[in-house]
Amino acid sequence: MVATLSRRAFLATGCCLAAAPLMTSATFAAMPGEKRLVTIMLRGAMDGLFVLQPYADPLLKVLRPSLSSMPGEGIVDLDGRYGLNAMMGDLLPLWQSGELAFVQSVSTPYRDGRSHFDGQDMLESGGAFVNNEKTGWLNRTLDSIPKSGQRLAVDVGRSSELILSGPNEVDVWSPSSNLRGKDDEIAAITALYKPDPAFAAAFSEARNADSAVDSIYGDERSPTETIEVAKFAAAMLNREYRIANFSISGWDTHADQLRAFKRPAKELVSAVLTLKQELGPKNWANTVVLVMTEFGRAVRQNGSLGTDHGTGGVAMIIGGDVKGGRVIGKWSGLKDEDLLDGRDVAPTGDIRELAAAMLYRQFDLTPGDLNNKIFPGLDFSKSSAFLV
Amino acid sequence: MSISFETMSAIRFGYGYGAGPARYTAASRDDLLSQLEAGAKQPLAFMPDGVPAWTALVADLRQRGIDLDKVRKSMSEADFVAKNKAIRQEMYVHGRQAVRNRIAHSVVSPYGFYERLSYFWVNHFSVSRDKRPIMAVVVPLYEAEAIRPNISGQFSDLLKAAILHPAMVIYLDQFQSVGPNSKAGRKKDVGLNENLGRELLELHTMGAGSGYTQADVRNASLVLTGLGISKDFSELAFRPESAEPGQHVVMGRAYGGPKRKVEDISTMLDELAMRPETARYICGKLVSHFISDTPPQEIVDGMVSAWNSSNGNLGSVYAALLDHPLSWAGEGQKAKLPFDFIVSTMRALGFDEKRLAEKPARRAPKQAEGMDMNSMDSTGSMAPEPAMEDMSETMSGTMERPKKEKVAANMPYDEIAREATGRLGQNFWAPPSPAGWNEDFSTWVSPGQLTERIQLVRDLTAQVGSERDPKDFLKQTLAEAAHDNTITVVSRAPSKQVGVMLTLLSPEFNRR
Repeated sequence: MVATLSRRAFLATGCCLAAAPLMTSATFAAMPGEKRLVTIMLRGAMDGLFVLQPYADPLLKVLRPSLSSMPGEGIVDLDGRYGLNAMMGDLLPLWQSGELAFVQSVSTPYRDGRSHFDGQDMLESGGAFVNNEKTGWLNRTLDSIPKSGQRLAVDVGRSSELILSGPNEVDVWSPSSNLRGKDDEIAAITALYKPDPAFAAAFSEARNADSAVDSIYGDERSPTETIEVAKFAAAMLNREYRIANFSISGWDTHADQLRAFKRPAKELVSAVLTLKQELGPKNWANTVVLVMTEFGRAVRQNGSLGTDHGTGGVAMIIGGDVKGGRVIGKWSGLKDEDLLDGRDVAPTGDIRELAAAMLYRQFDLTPGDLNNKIFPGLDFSKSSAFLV
Repeated sequence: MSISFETMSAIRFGYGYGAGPARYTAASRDDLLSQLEAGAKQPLAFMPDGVPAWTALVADLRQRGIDLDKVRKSMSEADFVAKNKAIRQEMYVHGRQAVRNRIAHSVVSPYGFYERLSYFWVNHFSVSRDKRPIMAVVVPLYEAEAIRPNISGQFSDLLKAAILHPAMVIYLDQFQSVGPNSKAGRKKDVGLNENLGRELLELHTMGAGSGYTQADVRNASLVLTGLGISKDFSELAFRPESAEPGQHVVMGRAYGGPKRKVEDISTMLDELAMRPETARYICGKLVSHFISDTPPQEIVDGMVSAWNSSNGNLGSVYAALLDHPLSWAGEGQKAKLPFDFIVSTMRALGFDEKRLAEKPARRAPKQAEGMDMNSMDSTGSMAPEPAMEDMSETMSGTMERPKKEKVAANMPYDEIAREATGRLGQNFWAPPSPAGWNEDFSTWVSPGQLTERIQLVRDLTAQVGSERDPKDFLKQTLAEAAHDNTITVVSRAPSKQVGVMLTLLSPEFNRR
């Protein structure tokens, strides 16, 4: 169930706490805890192999002549083996301070279909197969958190997200500015109009027009909206909210990936850095940011300097007390026999287990609840390799 | 794949398919024609208490203006201006609500063919609520009582109902037209206004360039003198003292006499309705509206002969349109105009009355500038409470202060739709000229139009699009009219929202 963010609820808690500091400790004591979780959904399938490049493996250059790099060029060295895409280079300090870990070769149990819709549904519903679960795992989580009678989750963004939808009330908030078309959306509309000259011409002109239209499709794309979203999420988490979710789209980089990747990458980096800054040292130390995408992309670059849908991908765990500065998860390799279906990174881990580990870590959920209610059929235990 | 009768009739003669109550599949020509009666019987969402109550509302608002005028001298100018403005404001509020309800009516009606025809005739006999404030409430009444009940009967009855309605008499200045030799004309420095006389021939009956002359225009205008409205603007009034005496010849027929009567006018309208030029013009315009900017002559011919053999019965004319095989071929030649695009989008997304009246869970972007959370309570409605200032105070530091001017309530979906008709260039009941909206393909498939459609659809699908599976949505919305390319592009969309969005932006959905 989704409820529009209640101003009264807001006034009754966060805002008035600041206005009446004497009440602060009492009210906070009633809260379920100090631990916080932010989930960021990267819609469109982020190319994990482009973000976290195993540059020490010469096969990478063979598979991706244009979309792989060496330290000092398009990537920043992380550990002598992996390099971080320079478009996300501003995350390096978090890696160095141990606040950022990458999770290699993970995916949902979804196989073969490579459909964004099904992939995102699986990721958000937490089911073992398509249509297994109708509600979101983060919403089901609310049932299992002690003293979660009051709303404590906020879904931030312009569209309703399955991950937080379900019987539990969740606040929603949408950002202000006009969401401009992402490259993948524009590419899709272009493809849509390709056989229709009248529509194709009108759309092409719309994109080229400066002035008013420029604000929708202009090149000067600042990530202000994402920053605003992240600021808002942080503000809510600084109050009584403990779970926040939002999305960053634009990752479906089928063509010209070197260019198309820039904007979503910048948005992700801005979102993470904004969260850290706005949460402040104390709350940041209690926060885990879980960055996930529906699946990875094919290991070979395609004919239009982009990548097609794949399977295994990369997730990120970021936060004040995560044991970061390392790559978690078993890397499956790039040799032909290591690939799934001869084309994708073979998943070695279930991303639901990663999510379960974060819920366990942050909210003391029991493995029973996690394996039965939240991620049916999952086999999470306290010895999970993802518990960091 | 060839397109079924159901799909073709939904696309070409309706608003496409809807997911909700608006889903109506016509299995045959008779099914479509049966909508004419059923549609006319439906209670009108934009006349919630019925036509008589709305008529009383018009009269009351107008009367209050008159009463205020009477006591104007007894009050300060500022006081008068404020009171006058308040009455005007009330007119606009009612008028705006009526537009919302008018859109909602078409969204939820199962009778798409009847709704399309109602639009066609309102556009054919264009009037505008922008003419003067009272028109905000008169125009809805016009559609309800002059147009909708008459669109399937004799054309002459529809013509008389439209021309002899206060809305038309006000819109084309007829109530200010005075015969130069009438009693009123001799007394005052007022004269003939040819506005209605000209449009009657050029737009409403014979059509431009069909053979009438300036003399016919002037004489028709003279016949029309005396046509006025009651003081409260709620009904028609004939004023013999303004009517030009004598006989006036229009297209070779003389109307009037030494003593002028309202029947002179209705006889002229009846005879203009029966002119062969009129039949051809109207039939051609119907084919242009439904089938193609360049109407196939064969279809028009069939309709004209139906017109002739039924003395201009519109139901028979529509039947002839539906009977021609060419009416069921070559879909996609017409561009959907903004109003129809918005209506069909809302239908496709499954909006019903209840949902239309709801506010999005997330605010529409236009209203959402700045951190204006203080404009919302848990139901999303405006809740101006004193504590508001507290919040902006404590929020500063982490967030921007709310921008006061942007603190508009988030709008319910029917208001989003109303606002969108304006942004997309079709402010409903306010066409740019008496000729109504141009329906040419090139007018509406333009860069600016596409940009607006993309934004609207992006906003709507952000609210409701991710609830739908794009492949199912595509199937439900376009059925076998979907082109392979669209099916492929939609199935590869980067998210559900974008998939639904692409369906609504597809050429198939924007053409008909």
